[in-house]
Amino acid sequence: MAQLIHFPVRLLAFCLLLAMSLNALSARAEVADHSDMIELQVKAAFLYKFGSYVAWPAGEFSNASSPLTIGVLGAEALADQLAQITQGRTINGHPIVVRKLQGENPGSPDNDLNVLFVGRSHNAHLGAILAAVKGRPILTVTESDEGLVPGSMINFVIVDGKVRFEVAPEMASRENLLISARLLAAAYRVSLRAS
Amino acid sequence: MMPNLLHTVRQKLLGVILFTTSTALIIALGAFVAYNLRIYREALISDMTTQADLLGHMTAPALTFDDKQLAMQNLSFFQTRSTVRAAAIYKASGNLFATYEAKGEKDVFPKPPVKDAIFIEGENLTLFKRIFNDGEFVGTVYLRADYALANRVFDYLGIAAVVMIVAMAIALVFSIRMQRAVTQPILSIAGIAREVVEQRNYSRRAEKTSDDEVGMLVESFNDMLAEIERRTRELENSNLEIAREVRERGLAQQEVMRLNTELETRVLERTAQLEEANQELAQAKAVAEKANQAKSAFLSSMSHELRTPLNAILGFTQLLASETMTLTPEKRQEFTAHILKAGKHLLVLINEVLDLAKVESGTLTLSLEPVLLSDIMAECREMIQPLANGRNIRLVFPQDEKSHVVADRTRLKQIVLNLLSNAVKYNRDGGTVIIGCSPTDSERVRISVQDTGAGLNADQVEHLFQPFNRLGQEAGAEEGTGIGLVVTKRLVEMMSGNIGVTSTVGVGSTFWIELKSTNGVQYVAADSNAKRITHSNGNGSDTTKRTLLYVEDNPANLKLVQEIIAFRTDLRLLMAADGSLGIELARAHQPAVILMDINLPGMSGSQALQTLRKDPATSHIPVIALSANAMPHDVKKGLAAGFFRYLTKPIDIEEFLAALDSALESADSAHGGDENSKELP
Repeated sequence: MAQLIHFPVRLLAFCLLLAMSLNALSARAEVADHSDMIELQVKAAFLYKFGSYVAWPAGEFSNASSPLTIGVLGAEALADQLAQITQGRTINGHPIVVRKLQGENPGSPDNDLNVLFVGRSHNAHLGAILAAVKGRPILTVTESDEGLVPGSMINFVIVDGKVRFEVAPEMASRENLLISARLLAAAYRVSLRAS
Repeated sequence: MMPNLLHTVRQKLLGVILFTTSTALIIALGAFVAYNLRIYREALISDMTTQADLLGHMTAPALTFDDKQLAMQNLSFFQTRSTVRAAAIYKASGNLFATYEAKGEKDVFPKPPVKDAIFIEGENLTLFKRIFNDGEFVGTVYLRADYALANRVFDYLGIAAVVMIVAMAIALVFSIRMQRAVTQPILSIAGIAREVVEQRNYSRRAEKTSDDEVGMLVESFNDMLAEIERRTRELENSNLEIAREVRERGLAQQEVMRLNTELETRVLERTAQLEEANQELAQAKAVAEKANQAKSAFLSSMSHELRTPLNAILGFTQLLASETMTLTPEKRQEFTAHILKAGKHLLVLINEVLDLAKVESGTLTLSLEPVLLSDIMAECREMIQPLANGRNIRLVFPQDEKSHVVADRTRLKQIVLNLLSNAVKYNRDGGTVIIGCSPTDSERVRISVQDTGAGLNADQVEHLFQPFNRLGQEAGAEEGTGIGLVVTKRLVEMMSGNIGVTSTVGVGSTFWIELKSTNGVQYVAADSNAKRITHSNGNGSDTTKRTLLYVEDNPANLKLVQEIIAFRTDLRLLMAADGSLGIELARAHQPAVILMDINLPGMSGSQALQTLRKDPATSHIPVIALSANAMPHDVKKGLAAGFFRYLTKPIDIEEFLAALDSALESADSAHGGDENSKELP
């Protein structure tokens, strides 16, 4: 288990260092791929970490070892990365399942999602997607440039070249999800009022 | 707290209270401080741990989401906690993520250990706490806080000192007030105890003022006093009892001593009685012995006295019977007269001895009757007158004597005659005898016979009434028995009378008797005469004849020897009547032989012999004893004393002449014989 824990940490650290070193060279376009890659990795790591600061309503998990499913829409690489990070890991005791969503209805009950990440590629109809899962206890994470859109609970932003996130705790609570204050403390911005 | 400073109970009490208080305070404060320090330490550790935990918890998202600003923000909260001097957050890799330093602090931020750790170095408490998020190790919190234990200790000590001073001051004030409650009753007990000792008044009691230990002390003290009071009384009673017993014992002892004294007195009395009895016994024994001696002496004397006249009788008779000697008719007549005289004397002697024997044996019976003294005097005068006349002695009798005495007539006459004959016999020629007769008192009459003789000295008076003691008159011409006065004395005593004598040497003697009178006394005058012996001289002084000295007091014996020697023409006879004269003659005449009587008046024959032997002039002269002491032991003693021969009376003439010749021969041989000796045919 320790090894399982340490490995991603090192990896993350490595990534961070890499990101930092790449940031210094961010002015150069030719290194954009690298920067995107790091961003992707950080976001995957954050996505995984968010689960530990969120409390799902009781009865969402049939038992303690029920899997926690993270659905990834429109971000194949990130999903892969996430799957790689979460391999053998748990969140609050629940094993993690990464599910790649392909244009289908992400709100489908068959997916049995607990976390939904909507990639940048789907920002165009982000509202519809989020609306589809409305009324269900699913932590919604977006990377919209417009900030927290209605239905989005956490939105990734890039601040000073670093990946940060915004949180809309009201939105989450509307779906009976409780976001830890500590996550709020680490958030770049907290939307206290649902728009 | 030096013990020698604690003199009084108050001081001790004060000391105990202060000591106790301070000890309790020190312990309490010490415990309190130690507890507080421990609490402080634990609280600090707990606080820091909590802070670290909280920081870790709060900073976990910052680490997770790489939010350094958030971490810094979290660390900056320590600005309000001055105790935290430095803090830091390390990433999981061990690299510093965020740091905090209090103002003026510099920290080196050491590498975090792999484990949680808390350690204290000096005044620093350093804490490392790992941060986990959802079971994942995300980083480490580092905290360094002030560990101000020393300051705390100083603070606490200061507080403790102040508390101590205040508490001690309060304790002192209270104890000074409260100790009075304890010491006051004790002091009062001590005072009463001192009074009890000084006044010996055990009835004093201490007052009980409380129910505590002091109250118990008071009670115990009072109980003790009561006990002492009781014991003292008992002791006094016991002493009185003992004193009484001692007194009683003393009395008993005195009684015992008194009884002892009585007993001793009685023993002494008994002893005295015994001694008295012993003395009486001794006296009786002495009297008996004396009587026995007197008897022996009497027998010896009587033998001598009887032999003396017999000597004359037998001697002259032998001369008469001798055929070898031719006697003239005158001689024959003279011899016969001697024999007759000696025979008469012997008769008188024997009669007197018989009288004496009768008196002594008590067979003599007296018929006491009133006797007219004048009759007795007259009869006696008749009888004594011829004797007195023979010596020209005048007798003076009392005239008209009318006295009567109670006496035996015959024996009274014998008594008076004896006294008269003595007075005549031992008077001087031409002397006087005065007879007196006078009443001494109403009941007694004294008859006295006074002579003008030689008188008697005290010694002679003492021996006057002993048998055969003729007081030196043995050598005298007068015949005497020596028994007369003894018989007279006995007879007077038998008539309840007394006899006595007063005498002056050279003047005369007065013999007296006292008898019971019946009435009147008459004096009868009487005449008496006395006679003195004279020394007989030898015949002539023939120088051719050898000298013979005869020392003899008895005239008859002298005469006999004179007659015997008269037949020896070769011998001249010197005669001496006593020892001293004999010795003188022996010295003067140097006799060839000395004839010596033993019983001489004054110096005895034996004594004369010793004197002669001692004198060189006479020591060579043989001395022949011629004595009536004829007992064998007398003979033996005489020969041992140095007599040449010991011849006993009556004289055997042949034996006498043989002894004489033998002595003469001995004298011749001793002296070379300047004189011839002749034997009798």
